[in-house]
Amino acid sequence: MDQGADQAIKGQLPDQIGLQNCHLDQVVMRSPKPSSFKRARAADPATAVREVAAAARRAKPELRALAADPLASILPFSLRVAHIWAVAILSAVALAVFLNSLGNRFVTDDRLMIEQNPVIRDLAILNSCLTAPTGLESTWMACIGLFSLSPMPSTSP
Amino acid sequence: MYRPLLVVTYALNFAVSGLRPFGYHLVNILLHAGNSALVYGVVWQLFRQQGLAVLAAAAFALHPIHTEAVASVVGRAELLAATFVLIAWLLYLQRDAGSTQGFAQGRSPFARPLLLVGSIFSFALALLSKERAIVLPGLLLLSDGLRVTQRTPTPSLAVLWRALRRPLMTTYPAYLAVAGGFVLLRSAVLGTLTMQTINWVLNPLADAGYSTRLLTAAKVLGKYLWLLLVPLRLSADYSYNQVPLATSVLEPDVLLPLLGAGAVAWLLRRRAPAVAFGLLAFLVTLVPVSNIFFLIGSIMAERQLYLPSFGLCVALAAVVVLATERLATLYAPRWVPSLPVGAFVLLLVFYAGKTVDRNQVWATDLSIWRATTETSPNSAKAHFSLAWALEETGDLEGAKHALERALRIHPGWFDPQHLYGVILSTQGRWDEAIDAHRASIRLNPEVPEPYYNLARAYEMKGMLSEARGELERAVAAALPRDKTLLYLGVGDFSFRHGEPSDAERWFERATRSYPDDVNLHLYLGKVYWKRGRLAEANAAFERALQLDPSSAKAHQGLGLVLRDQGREAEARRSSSLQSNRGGALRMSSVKRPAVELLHAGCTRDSARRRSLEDGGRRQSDARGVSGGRQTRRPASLIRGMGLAGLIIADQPAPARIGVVAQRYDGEVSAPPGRLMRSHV
Repeated sequence: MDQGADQAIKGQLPDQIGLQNCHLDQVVMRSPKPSSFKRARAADPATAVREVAAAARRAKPELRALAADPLASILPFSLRVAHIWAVAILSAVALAVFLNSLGNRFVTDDRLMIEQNPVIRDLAILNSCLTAPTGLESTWMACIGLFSLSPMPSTSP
Repeated sequence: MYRPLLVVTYALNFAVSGLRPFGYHLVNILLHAGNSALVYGVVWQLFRQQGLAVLAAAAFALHPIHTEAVASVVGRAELLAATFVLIAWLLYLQRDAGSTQGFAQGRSPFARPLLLVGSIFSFALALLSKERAIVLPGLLLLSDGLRVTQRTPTPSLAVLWRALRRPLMTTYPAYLAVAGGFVLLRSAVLGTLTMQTINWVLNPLADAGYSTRLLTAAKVLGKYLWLLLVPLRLSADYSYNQVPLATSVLEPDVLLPLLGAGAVAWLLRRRAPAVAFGLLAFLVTLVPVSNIFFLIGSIMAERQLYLPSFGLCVALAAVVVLATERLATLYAPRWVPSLPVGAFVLLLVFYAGKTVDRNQVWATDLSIWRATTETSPNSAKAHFSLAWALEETGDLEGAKHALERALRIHPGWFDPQHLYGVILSTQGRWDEAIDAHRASIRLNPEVPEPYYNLARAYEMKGMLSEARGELERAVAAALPRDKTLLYLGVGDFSFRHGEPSDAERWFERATRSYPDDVNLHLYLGKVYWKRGRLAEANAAFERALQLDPSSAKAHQGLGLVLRDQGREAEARRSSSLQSNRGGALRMSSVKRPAVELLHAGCTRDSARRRSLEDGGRRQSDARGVSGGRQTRRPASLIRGMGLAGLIIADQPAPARIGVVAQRYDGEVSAPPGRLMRSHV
């Protein structure tokens, strides 16, 4: 990168667009025409400054946030595409780490709430769920959970 | 419990995949994946920093503290509530977004009101998923305050009031109205505002004074913070006595963590408002389950951290971003600013590995409780639950050891003592069992099971008069709704010991209590027939057939009675009816699980699961045969067959099978002559 041109841009950019601590790479990355910017910078730093400043003004609110985001510069996309990628990757990662729980059985209170809960076995619950208790008070695998639906009167100290 | 939306999702799961756990787990994982994406969206809307949003959401997606909420099906309440809270929050933020990409800006005059309506509707759905979603207005206030500080770094109270006055007057009341409506609806349906009974073992704060509650709540908050930062020793249980109650403010683990977190938030409030915001969001979302304002069912549970972890993930990510920014200002090699991000990525890798490992712990009850007794060795419930799990696998000695540890932690706890007695009875160690049952009775003389089991032990030792005395005490101790089971038990005892007239009296009492229970009429018919009272036997079996025309047992009994009455033709017809397909299905649906339990030698767990699935399928078959006709006996009897099926399986029971009594919606089924394992 042409250090002289960059210094010139960095020096003028905050004044031109009213942003402090703005990262040059982010601005360039989000410029609509990064290749034209490169050509302009190679030929004339002043043209490059104007190019960047024009792009920056167009995306000023976005850049205001990006100014303090040093990590954003590693994402080689426009912001909208970056959002889509971020959401897709995060969802995939969340799915991946829990994938090995798919083979788990019903455990602890699952038995009470699923296996032994007659309420869930009929879709007629859709008609009455708002106006009737919808299950059993869970006691997190209280002793009654496995073998009876009756309340447990003991367990006082 | 009042969580309609949650239960509807379970019902949909059941409609699609029955009792196969796969579908239920899949929905949980998908919800968690969606929540991770929503966390990204909310953090982006709050701070407009993509790096911060990605790091916070990645920490949320991978954090092992979420295993309890995601890998157990009942954790869906947390997932679903978090989903709708995050959607409501995102829509609210989008409505006020200053971004040029915002849906609300410059596209439609209806956009802002629509987003608000969507947010409020989502809030209502969150409340219908789990009541703790009521924290949303607090989060909205927090994010509005953050907006003010983003514009004015050190706002005065007047500035804050001017900025917040409008939403406080216009939008917040709508959310509060929804919350108030939900509280009223819930109270009307349940008849109470809070939990009716708090299990002292699960939440020892139930009997504590308010100062102890407050101090212990502070201690638990500190533990939660530590678990989120260093999730090394995760546990499925923190009940008595894993978290000793705090009694003094001077205890280091009461105030130090909170003071530390408060100091960090205060120091970084200007330099890194995201850190302060994250810590405050953590506290706001944790308040409803902190036991400070009202008691909940447990003193501490990792699943409660699902939504609060959002705040800590934001704070952690904000620290990383702050460190990266600071390092970027130094005259250092270009890779130096990447160090915090690199360290955070390593932390995420550790989180992911720990989560994958932790999922395996949640695979079965046995694996959960084995791990829990290691990480929560002072929890009586963990040892007790391990005992249940071991007993299910047939490891009775292991179960006894676990129960002994539970009783060492909490000697006054009835339930492990009771199970200890049941196991001794199952092993046929009658003298020790008698001592154990007596100890159970001392701990809780109001529960009928120990009397019943003590009677059984006396009976096996040939001490019949003592046995009868204990049976009568069991009847006296039982609640009215449970007495019928014991009438059956006493009647069966009398029948087996040559007192049919006494048996008849007890069976008649049972039948009067539940005149619509087929099985009681079958018992009564049988004892009448044995006593030669053929007319009464005929009436009893006829009544059973009225209640369930497909009952093969009733047809069989009626056939025998008619034969003895000399009505051969009718007897043959009744016998042929017995073999009709519907009756056979019905019969097999009842008897097969019992036979499995009694003779196939499989563990109770597997037999129960198989019979539950089998019962559901067979019920469908039976409906198909009978042209979709609903019998008066609801399906629950068939579905609960793993336990209740024993009722009309009159084969002799090996002692190890033990109990059996299962009630669904007031139905009663009893297993005469067997142990009683839990409260009926």
